[in-house]
Amino acid sequence: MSDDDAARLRHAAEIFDEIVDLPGDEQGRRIEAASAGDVALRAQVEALLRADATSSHLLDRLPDLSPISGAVAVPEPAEPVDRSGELVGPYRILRLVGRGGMGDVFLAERADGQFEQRVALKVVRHEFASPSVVRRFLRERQILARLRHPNIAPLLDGGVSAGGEPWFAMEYVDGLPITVAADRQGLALEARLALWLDACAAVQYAHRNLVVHRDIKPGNVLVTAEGQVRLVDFGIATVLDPRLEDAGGATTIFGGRLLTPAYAAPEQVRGGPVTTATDVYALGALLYELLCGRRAIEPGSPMAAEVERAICEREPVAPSRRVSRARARLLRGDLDTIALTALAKAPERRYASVEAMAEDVRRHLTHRPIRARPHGMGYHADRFVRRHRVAVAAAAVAMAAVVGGGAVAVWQARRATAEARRATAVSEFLVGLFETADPEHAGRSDVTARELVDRGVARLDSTLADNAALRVELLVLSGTIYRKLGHFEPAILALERAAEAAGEKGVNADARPQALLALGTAYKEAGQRDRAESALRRAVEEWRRLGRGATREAAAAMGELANAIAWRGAHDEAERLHREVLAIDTRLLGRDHLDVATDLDNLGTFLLGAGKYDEADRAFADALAIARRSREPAGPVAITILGNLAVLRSAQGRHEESLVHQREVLAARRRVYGDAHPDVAISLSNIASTLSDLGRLEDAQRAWEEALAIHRRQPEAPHPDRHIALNGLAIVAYRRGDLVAAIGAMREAVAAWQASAGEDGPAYLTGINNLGVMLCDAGEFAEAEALLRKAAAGRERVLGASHPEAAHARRNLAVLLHRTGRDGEAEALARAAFEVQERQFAPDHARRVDAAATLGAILLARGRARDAEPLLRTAADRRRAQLGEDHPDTLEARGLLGACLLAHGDPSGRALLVPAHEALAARPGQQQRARELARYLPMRQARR
Amino acid sequence: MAPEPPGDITLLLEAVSSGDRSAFDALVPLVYAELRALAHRRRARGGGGLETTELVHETYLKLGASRAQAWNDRHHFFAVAARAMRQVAVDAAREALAGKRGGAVIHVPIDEVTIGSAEDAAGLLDVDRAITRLCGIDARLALLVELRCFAGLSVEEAAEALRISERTVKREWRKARALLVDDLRRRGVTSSGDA
Repeated sequence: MSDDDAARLRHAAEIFDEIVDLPGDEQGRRIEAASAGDVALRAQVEALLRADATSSHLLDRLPDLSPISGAVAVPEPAEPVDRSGELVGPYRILRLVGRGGMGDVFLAERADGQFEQRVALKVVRHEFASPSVVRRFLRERQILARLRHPNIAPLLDGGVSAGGEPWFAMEYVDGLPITVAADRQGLALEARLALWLDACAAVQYAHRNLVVHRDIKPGNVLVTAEGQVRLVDFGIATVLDPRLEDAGGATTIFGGRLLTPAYAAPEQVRGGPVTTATDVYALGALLYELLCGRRAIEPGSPMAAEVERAICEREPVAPSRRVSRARARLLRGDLDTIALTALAKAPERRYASVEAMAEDVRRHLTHRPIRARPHGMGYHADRFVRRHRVAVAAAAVAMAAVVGGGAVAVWQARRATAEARRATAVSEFLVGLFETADPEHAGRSDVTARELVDRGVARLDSTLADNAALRVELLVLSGTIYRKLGHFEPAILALERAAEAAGEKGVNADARPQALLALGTAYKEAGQRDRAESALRRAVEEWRRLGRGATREAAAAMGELANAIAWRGAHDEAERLHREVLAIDTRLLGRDHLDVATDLDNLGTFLLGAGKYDEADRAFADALAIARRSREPAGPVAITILGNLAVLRSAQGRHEESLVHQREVLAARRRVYGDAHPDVAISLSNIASTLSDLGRLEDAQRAWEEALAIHRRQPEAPHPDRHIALNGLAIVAYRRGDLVAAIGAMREAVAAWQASAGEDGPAYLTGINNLGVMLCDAGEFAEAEALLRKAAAGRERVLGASHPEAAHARRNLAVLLHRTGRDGEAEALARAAFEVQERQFAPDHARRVDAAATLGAILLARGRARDAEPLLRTAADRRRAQLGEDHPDTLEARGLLGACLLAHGDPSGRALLVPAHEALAARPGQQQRARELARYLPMRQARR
Repeated sequence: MAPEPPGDITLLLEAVSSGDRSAFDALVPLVYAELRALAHRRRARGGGGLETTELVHETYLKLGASRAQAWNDRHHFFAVAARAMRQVAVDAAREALAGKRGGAVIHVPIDEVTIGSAEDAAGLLDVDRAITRLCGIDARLALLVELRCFAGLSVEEAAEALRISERTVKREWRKARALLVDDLRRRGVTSSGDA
C-alpha cells in the first residue's frame, strides 16, 4: 500500500469516527464538508460506513467479539463531609468508630425504625470506589451474605450509596481483639487455645464456602463480653484489596496494601496466589501470639524492604524460646511445631487446611500425638509452590482456554433456538467463572485457575440443585476443563458425578452417554485404562439402547473405545469398532465424504499398528482415492493419508515408494510453512530414515543434518523433536562403524525422548532398543541387556507379542544372549521372533531375514549346523542382493554359512568364512561380529 | 527437563514497560517459543490438538512463575501474548491447511484444533494479513484488535491494558473493525454474511 493510500485511510477513519453515530442526512453533509471534493476520500469514508454496517463472518466469529455491551455507569462519588445523621441505604450514621485504609467505619442504625438494630457500617471512600471495586463488591456481597456461622459476624446488607460509595452493614460486635481479651482476662493456655479453635471453626466454615478471609488479625477476631468469638470483615479484604485495583491507581509494590505485617503471609507480600493457605498462616500468627504474647514477625523498621524481608525470609523463633522457662515447658514440642508449621514461608509446607491445623491442637489438648512433623528452620520452597499454583493474573487467558472448550458448545447450542435458554445458562456459568477472579480485578495472583473451576463446581450444587439436566451438562463441561488443564483427579470426580446425576429424573437420555464418553476420555488420559474401557463401553451401549447406535455421536464413542482397547491387544474388537465407525459415517455422509476418508485413514493407521499391512494398504488406498477426488486433492486430509501410507510402505520394506509419498508431504509442508519450520524438519527426518534403510547413508546424513539444523535454529532449544534427527545421525554413525559417536548421539536422543514423552511411548522404546543394539556391538553387554530386555518387554506390552516390532526387539535380545553364551534362552527368543516375521513378511523383508540369520547363528553354535544352513543361506543371499557384497550384515551371514559348511565337512565353506572374517575384523565397529566368526575358523587360521 | 526461559525476559519486559518498541519485538518470539515448546510437549504426550489459549496460560506460568515481580506489569504481557497468540493461531491455521504432521499417528479430526475448518483456517490467514496492513495505517488499532481477538480481552480489559477509556476502546474498535472489513472486501475475501 502506498503512503498516500495509508494517509487517506487514516483520514477516512477519522472522519468515520466523527460521523458514524450521526443520523443519515447529517452524515451525508458532514462527509461532503470533510472530504472537500476529494472523491477518493469520500468513497473511502462511505466504504467504511458500509463495512461498519456489514456483519463479518470472519471477524465477528472470533471469540469475544460479540456486540459491545455498555458498561455499568457509576456516578462520580461526592467528597464526604461530616456524616453523622446521613442516610446510607436504610441506615442512619450515628458516629465514626474507625478509619481504615480505604474507608471509614461508622456505628449506624436502621433508619426506617422497622426494628432496632445497630450495625457496623463500612463505607468505602470515594477515591477507592472505582468501577472495578464496585463490581467486585456487588459480586462478593451475595457470597458473603450467605455465610452463616455462630462465630462469624454476618454481613447484613450492602449496596452502593447515592454518592457511589459501596457500603457494607455488618452486625456490630462489641468486643475486644482476641489477644487483648486473653490478656485482660488472664486466660490460661487451654482457654486461649479454646478461643483460637473457635476462630478456626469460623474460618474452616468459610473455606468450605469458598471464601478466604485474607486479613485475619486480632482486630478482626473479636471476643465479646460473654466470651464469644466473632470474626468480622470476612472477605472484605478481597473487595477492597488495592492490589486488585486498576493499574492507573498509584499503588506501590508494598506500601498501598491493606496488610498488617505481623499477620501477612509471604505470598501476600510477594503478590503470589492468596488461598486458604494464607488464612492458615494468619491463624498461625494469631496462635503464636496467643502462646507467647509476642508477634511472630517483628520487622526491625517500618521500611517496606525490611518488612518484606522479615515476612518472606526471616524464620520466626519458636514460641517456647520467647517465654519464661516455666511456660516454655508447656510450649516446647507440639505447640512450637504446630505454630511453626502454620507459619511456614511456603504455603505447601503449611497445614493443608485449617481443619488439619485445628485437629493437631485438639490432639495436643487430649494428649494424642500430633500429625505435623517437627522440622528445622529454613524452608524456602516458594518456587515449588509457584509451579503448582496457577496465578490468576493469567486467568483471562486461562479462561479463554476454558471457553476454548466451552465456547464451541455454547455456539453450537446457540444455533438451535429451542436450546437458547440452556445455552444462556451455560454461558452465564462460564462468564461467572471468569468474573469470580477476573484478572483485571485481580492485579496479581489471587485464585488459581483450578480453584476457579472448583468454585464453579461447588456452586453448581447450590445454584442448580433443582435443575439436574443443566447440572449434568455443566459438570461435563467442568470435568472437561479440568481434564484439559491436566487435573485428572477432579476431572474424574466431576465426570463421575455427571454420569451418576445423568440418571436422575428430568435429564435427557442423551446426557448419560455423553457424560460417559467424557468420563472415559478422562480415565484414558489419566492412565486408568480398565475404567476408560468400561466407561466407553457403557457409552456405546447407552447409545445402542436408545436406538441411536448408528449415529455420529455413537461413532465418536466407538472411535474412542477402539483407541482405548487397542493398547491391550484387543485388536479384533478394536478393528470391528473402527469398521463400524466407518460404516456409520459412510451411510450418513456418503461414500465420498472427507470424514469417511479420515475414518479409513484411522482404520488404516490402526491396522498398520496391528501389523496387518495388507489390509492397512487397502484402507489407505480407499482413503486416498476419496481425498484425491475431493475438492482438496492435496489438502490436509490427503497429506495426512500420504504420510501414513509412507510409514506403511517403509514398514513393508517398499522404501522407494515410501520416499515418493514422503517427498509429496515435504513439498506440501514447504509450500505452507516455508523452509525453516520444525514440521519441515520432521518430514526431512522421515525421508532421511528411509534413505538410511536403503543404505544411502550419505544422503540420509545430509537430510538429517538439514533437519537438525532447522531444529537448532528454533528459539526453543533444545527442540523436543530433535531426538528424531539425533537418532538418525546415530544410526548413520553406527552403520559407518563409529560406535562411539553412535552411542553418544543415541544417548542424547534417548534422554530427549524420555524428557518429552516419558517411558511409555513407542518412540522411547525404539530409542532404548537402538541404544541396546549399539552397546551390544560395542561389547557393553550389561547395560545393553538391561535396555534390550526393557525394550522387548515394553513392546510386547504395548503392541502384543505377535507384533513384528515386538518380535524384532526379541531378536535383538537373542543376539545379545547368544554373544554372551546363553544360547538356550537365545534360541527360544530367536525362534519365536522368526515365526512372527515369517508370518508377517515376504521372504526378502529385512526383518524376516534378520530373524533368520540370528536363529541360524544360534543353531550353528549349538551344533545344529544342518538346521542352521538353510536359514543362513537365505540370509546371505538376500542380504547380498539388498545390501551389497560388502555390507557387514552380508559378510556376517556369508561367514556363518561358510562355518556351517565346514561343520558338516564341506571344505568349500572356508572360502566363505575366512575372507568374511578378515573383512569384518578390519572394519571399525564390527569386532563383535568378527569375534563370532573367529570361533569357527579352522585351527591354522585361528592361530595366525 | 523443560528449558529454562531465557534470562533476558525480565530485562526485556522492563524495557517494554519503559516504552522500548524493539524490546517488545524481541519478547514476542520468546513467548512464542515457549508456546510452541509447550505445544510440542503436549503433543508428545499425546495431548491432541493445539489449544492455544491453554498454552498461553501455561506460558504465562512458566515465564511468570519464577519471576513474578518481573511480570508485575501484566498489561505488557498481554500485548506480547496477544501477538504471540496471533502467531500461534496463524501457525495452527497453516497446520490445518497443510495437514497434520505425518507419521503413524491416529488422525486427529481437524475440528479439534482451535481452527474449525479449512475454510476458517484460510479466513484466519486473511484476517492476519489484514491486521498486518492495519498496523501500517494505525499500529494502535492493530494492537487493540490483537488484544481483543487473540488474547480475548473484554472492552474493559482492553481499556486497562491500553490505558485508555472504555469509550475510546469502543470507538477505536469500531474504527478498526470497519477498516478490516473494508480491507477484506477490497481484496475479494468474502467475509461477510449479508453483504
